[in-house]
Amino acid sequence: MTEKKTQEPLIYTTQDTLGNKTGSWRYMRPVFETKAAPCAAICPAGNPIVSFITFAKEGDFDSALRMIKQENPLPSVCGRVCPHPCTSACNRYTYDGSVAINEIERFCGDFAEQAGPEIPERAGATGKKIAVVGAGPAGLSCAYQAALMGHEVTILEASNRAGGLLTQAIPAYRLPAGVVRRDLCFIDILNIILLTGKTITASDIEKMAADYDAVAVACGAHKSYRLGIEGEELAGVVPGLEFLRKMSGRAAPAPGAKTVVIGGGNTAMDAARAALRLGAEVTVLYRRTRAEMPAFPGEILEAEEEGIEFRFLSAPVKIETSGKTKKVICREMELGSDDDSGRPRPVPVEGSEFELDADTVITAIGETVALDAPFFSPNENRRQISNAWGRTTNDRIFICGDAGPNDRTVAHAVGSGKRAAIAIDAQLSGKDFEAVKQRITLGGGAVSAAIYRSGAEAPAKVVAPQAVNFAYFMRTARLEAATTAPDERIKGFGEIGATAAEDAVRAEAARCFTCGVCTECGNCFMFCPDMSIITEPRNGVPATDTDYCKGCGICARECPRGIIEMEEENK
Amino acid sequence: MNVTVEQEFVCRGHVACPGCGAVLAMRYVLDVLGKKTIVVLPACCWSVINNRYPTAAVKVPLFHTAFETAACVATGVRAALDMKGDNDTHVLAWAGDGGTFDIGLQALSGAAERNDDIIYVCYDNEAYMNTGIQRSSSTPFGAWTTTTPAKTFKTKQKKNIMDIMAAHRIPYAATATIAYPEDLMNKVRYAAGIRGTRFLHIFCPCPTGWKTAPDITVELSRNAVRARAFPLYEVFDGTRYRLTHEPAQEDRMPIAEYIKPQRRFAHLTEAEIQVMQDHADEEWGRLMKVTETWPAG
Repeated sequence: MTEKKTQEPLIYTTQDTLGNKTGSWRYMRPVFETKAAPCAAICPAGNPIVSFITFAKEGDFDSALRMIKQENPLPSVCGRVCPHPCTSACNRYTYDGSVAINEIERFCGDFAEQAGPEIPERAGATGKKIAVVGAGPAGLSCAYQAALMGHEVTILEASNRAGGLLTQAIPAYRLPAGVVRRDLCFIDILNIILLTGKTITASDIEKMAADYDAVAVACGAHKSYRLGIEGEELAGVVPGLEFLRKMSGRAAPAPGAKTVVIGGGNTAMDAARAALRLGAEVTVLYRRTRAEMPAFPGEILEAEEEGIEFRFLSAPVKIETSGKTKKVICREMELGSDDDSGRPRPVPVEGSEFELDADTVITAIGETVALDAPFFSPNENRRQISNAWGRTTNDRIFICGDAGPNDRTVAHAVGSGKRAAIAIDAQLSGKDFEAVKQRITLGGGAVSAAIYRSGAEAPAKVVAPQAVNFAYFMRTARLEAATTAPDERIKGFGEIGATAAEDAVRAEAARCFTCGVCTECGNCFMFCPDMSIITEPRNGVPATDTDYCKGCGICARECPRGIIEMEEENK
Repeated sequence: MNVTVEQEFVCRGHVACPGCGAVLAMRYVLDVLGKKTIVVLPACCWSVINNRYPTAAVKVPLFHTAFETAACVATGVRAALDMKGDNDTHVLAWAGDGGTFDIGLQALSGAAERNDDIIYVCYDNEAYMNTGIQRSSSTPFGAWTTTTPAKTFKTKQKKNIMDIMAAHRIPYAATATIAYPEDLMNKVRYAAGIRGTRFLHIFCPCPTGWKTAPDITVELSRNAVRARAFPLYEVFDGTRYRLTHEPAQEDRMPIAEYIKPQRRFAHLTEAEIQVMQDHADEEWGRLMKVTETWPAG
């Protein structure tokens, strides 16, 4: 509307109402606070999910990748193999399907092909030397974060290359070698010294503690549990990890026509599906039911689709040779009362024996830590070590990854490596560990290295779904991950599925509610009947003009992303 | 939110109840009309909200007048401005539902019949809230008010003021509500750009009179639209209709859910709520039919 210059009136007959401080009516007060999104608070690797998705939404994938790399050096890897607990925690989950965070992460990780690695800038050299034992995801994450903090890092790896389980156990159809290589480029960029072929014993570690300012032990859990049954030592009976390790070598193993896999975890699934691709007919024996299987649900589903036979409630009793092949004598089980792990205990059913023929038997009933060290016993003080972020009884020795009391996924390994690096740095720089822990833990869950480095404070509260105002979000279809038909994928070790296309990723990122982070949407300002919202953000959030705010609470109710809460006045 | 309030013409320190919907309506409307506006205000909540002389919360000229006279005083102000040669100042009659549906209806009808060049806003909070929550002809079926206590709640349906205004064949009549500021401001902008009698029916929940928590004012406004108790539409020349917001299928809600947090309906039985639902369905069906039969271009 065009406006002509208006004449000021000669006299004002009225004054404004500013003298009337209606804030005195208030008994509730809106509190504006940046909060943690539930996805970010639960992420085992501590990915800055809302921040990177915000950049992805804009199509700024360089910045998105840079955000992730602050916390996690392995986005291409995690985007593929992480069981993404973030998506189950997503506040969109019950509305119209969670945001496919893993697909966005995967795209950002792969975007390094175009953008470059986007490694954050390294802090000035501290002159401190840190040794990391093991170049698996935990050791790599620890080395990465320690190097970013300016420490001089040396990794000692027993095998001939970096990657640990990423290169030696996870089959290529889940994680192609090129993907791992892309994420591992930081080793050279950050001048991390990688010494391969170094087998380290417990006494070596104690010696190293004298030569280095700190030693992080990330040796993994490689010792397969034994079945403890007759015939286990026969040729053709192999532990799952060993089988998978051979797969990654030059000469793939020949499992023969029939393979029996014993166990229900991820190693069992990987071994079974790899054997299937090598031409075997595969049967998985598991002593409980499908519901109790520890493997990722997606892995179980894909194994079923590929035609792997599952014999639930079945356990081996004995393995016999019968000519060239073997016979696995099994027994049926039934579920009894719960055991220590909270799962029902399998109880043998008398007289239910049956036999399975097998050329190869793969045992995959779990792995444990091979290292036996006085400063660390994997079965004791698990909780203490976990709460201590890898600190042990020896103040120069730290533990992370599968070697420690952590959940055994790549993302957990990345997170525990980061925690150990922060614990080391806090110790070396004389910071109060408990205060650091308090400051950088998001909503009591994930840990942020970027916040550690910047000295900022992580949001303490997590946005609950009740705090989200769904009225401001249109229902939109979730990005469905590309997949490959089962009969196509069992032909070889080619990667299953594909990274989503850029526009699909941007559309998916646009579905993010950005829980807990003010986007300056203006709802609080627009709907305030007392014009009492100060929109100029302070600490990233608006504020209230307490002189006039009557405390009606509309702002809190209409905030789409749970930033505003009403609190009792004078409390 | 795709819109914002650029200029505040409602001053902090006004004395509306916490969570008042009528303040938001005034704030949005004046932002669009701008400072060259004269407000004509009959007795209504806003005559209190504006605060006592010599203070005023509204920062444009405002004329307090008698209950039944909003439209005719606006007509007079318009005539005076026209005589001065000022034909770009908006004259805004701002009345509540009592001052529009009941007491001021005769004056409004007269102005509309003459097609006087005014913008008439009825901010509707569904009872005489200012004087102590008495029933008006805008109060919906089933509601408690101080003159229709729960035992003998109001048994007549809400009067359809939009049909009355459309019957005058005025150039523009529209419904709007505070939960949809963009829609509301677009309608004010359209009204400001044309001449003649323009009527806006703005639905404004009232925490005090509806016995609701002050924080759900906007939510109730949104839910009224989602429950199709208050459809958003416009009528051109009293004959051509356009729906401006149709709630998505999955956003729709039954009347029962819309009235649940409003304690003015707390006494209703399921059968009585069904009467409200049937009425809303019937009205919606009728609106669908007219918008299909006589669509606006």
